[in-house]
Amino acid sequence: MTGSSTNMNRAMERSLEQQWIDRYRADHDALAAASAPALNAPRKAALEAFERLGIPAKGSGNGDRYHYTDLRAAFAGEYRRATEAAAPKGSSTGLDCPGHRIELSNGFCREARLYRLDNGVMYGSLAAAAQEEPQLVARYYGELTQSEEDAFSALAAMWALDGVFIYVPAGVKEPLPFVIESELGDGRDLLSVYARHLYIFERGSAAQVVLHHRSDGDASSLSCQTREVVVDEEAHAEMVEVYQLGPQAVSVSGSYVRQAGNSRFESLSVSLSGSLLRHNLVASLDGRGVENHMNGVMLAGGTETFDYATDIRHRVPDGSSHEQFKSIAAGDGTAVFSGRIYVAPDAQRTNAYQQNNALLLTPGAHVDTKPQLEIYADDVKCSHGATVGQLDPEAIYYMRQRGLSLDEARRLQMYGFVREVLDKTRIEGLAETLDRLAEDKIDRL
Amino acid sequence: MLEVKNLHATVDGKEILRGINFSVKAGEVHAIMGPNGSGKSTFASVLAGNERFTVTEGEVLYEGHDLLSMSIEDRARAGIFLGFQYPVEIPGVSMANFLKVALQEKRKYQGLEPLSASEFLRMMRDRASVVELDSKLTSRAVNEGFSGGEKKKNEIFQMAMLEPKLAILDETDSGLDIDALRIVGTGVTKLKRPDNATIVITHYQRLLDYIVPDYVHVLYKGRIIYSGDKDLALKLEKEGYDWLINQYE
Ligand SMILES: Nc1ncnc2c1ncn2[C@@H]1O[C@H](COP(=O)(O)OP(=O)(O)O)[C@@H](O)[C@H]1O
Ligand SMILES: [Mg+2]
Repeated sequence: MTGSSTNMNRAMERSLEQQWIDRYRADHDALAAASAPALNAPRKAALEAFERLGIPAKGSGNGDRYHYTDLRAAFAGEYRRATEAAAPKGSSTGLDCPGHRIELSNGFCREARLYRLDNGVMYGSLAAAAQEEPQLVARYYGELTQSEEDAFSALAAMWALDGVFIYVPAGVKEPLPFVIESELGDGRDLLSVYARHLYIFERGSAAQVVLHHRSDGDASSLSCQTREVVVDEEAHAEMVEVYQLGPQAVSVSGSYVRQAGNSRFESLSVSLSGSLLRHNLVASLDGRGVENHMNGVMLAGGTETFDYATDIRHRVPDGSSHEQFKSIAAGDGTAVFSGRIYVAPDAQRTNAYQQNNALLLTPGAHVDTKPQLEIYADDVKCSHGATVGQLDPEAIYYMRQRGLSLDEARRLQMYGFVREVLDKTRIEGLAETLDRLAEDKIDRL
Repeated sequence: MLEVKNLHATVDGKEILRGINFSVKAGEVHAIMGPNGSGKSTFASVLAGNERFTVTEGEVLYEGHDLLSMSIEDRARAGIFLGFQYPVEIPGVSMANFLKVALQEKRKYQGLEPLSASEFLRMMRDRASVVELDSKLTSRAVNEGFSGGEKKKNEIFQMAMLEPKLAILDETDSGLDIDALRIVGTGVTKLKRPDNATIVITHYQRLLDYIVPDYVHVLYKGRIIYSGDKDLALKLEKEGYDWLINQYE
């Protein structure tokens, strides 16, 4: 790692926040010179927000959105900022999913370009899009990220140089999914990685996005990324995200979705592995008749901590939201779900459903689950439920009576438990892949 | 095939089985009847190896082996099948996958080669027809969203797939309408072979119209208090258990 002992001592004397602020000041000119105006625009305000917000401590900060997980410790390392993609590896480690492939390495698109399809679809590097389509990017970039209210979102805004850009124009139903393979770390340094992503799905369009985040076992990284997803009127979009990070990878990510009238957005986030994965999933239901589905699976073993904070904001009448999260915690693993549902005073006839079911397999494992309902309208159907339990002994007995071993019966029950969520994806062939990945992880729990 | 000697069992310190003596030979059908709470399901559970119950005395020999020292799954693989009074739902686990694992485990235990995927599918289709089970149900999760009758048919379907040597059917007839009863009854009869045996636990004579028993036993307060032939079931249906209980007490 970097740094002499005098450096270390000096670093210890400054506050954690000040260290990050100093790092940013040192990087500022290089960032500004490397970026298009759209990406530079929010940096200053984000820095000010970060100075004001600080890195939330466990049990405090941001309306107790960061109540359960200590993120400060992860930010205490001496990081080297990733400034380019790492050298490509020979072997393919990607998901087996056909589509428009976009490869990211440490937050940078391996091909720094924007692809254009005949139907008007554009996808590829956000930095390239900001150069080639400055108006389009400027129109949406930073609209949704809350980089002035969330410290991690602010960090992503301060440092991001690239990310993924996807644009599906009005009325286009793109048949192939966009498949993003994102690789973290380089196996040498303790890397800090930043990226911002922007997906625009215009009126009446349809699209699917698959994201696969992975890192090698020996790669250390701290990743702060945010994604803005604009879902216009009557657009239908589905997004599946799989985290398969190594034991030295920390990721704090924010997904900010805005839906206009009669649109439908479905997301599935699967946390298979990683040291510490924190996900902020925010959806703002801004038009009438919107449908939002937010699903997730956490499989936390060892000392892994996976923490989802969802925030569904029903701003207008007649919206529906459906959240289903399932977690299994084993070893000394931790699975956290806190789900906020906000229903604005005039968002009548809102239908909001939230469910979190967790299996706690060992005495050292930990599960936290908390619904947060802020309902200001009176004609609202809102149901939420949480269960934390063990495997069902009756089901295990039943399976063993048919000849399955105790171990197989336990595993089959766990497979079944998460499969109910994983199989919700409609992306061709993906459910089988997700089932297989989840089963591999369950076998190692 | 099965030799039960002076079997005592408890649950939560309460003695439920109080000295059962019972034996079954290959090719036989035994019916066990008796009032509610007399210990019929407990007896079946103890034979299957349910860990909620503790055997405090007695022994059980199955094909010459000490059954009580075998694990639940080894008993199953060695050919003991329990049709549950209350079949369990297993969300997210498909019938097909569940049965595939069960069948391959059993074949492995018996030293047989695994079935190929196509052999397995053919067998599923074939055996589902024995109990007129809607083939759509075999692609669903185990017992999830099945009606009461479907659950019971599904037990017999699994029995048909696993081809047990000793099948114990615990009130498979309860909650069935006339049609389902006929299907289950004839299904079990179709599966009968000279080298297997069946224990039918029931309240009613009506299932025994299809599955004709060689012996009928009455279990009361954890003991077999009377045994007879198939006519005993008819008499019990008409006259109830009181005459037997009075005689016993
Ligand atoms: N798991 C259990 N815990 C406590 N008591 C039980 C349990 N299972 C059965 N019993 C008791 O054992 C007795 C016999 O029950 P059971 O074997 O189910 O009878 P049957 O099947 O003949 O109706 C009853 O008094 C019942 O309450
Ligand atoms: Mg019973």
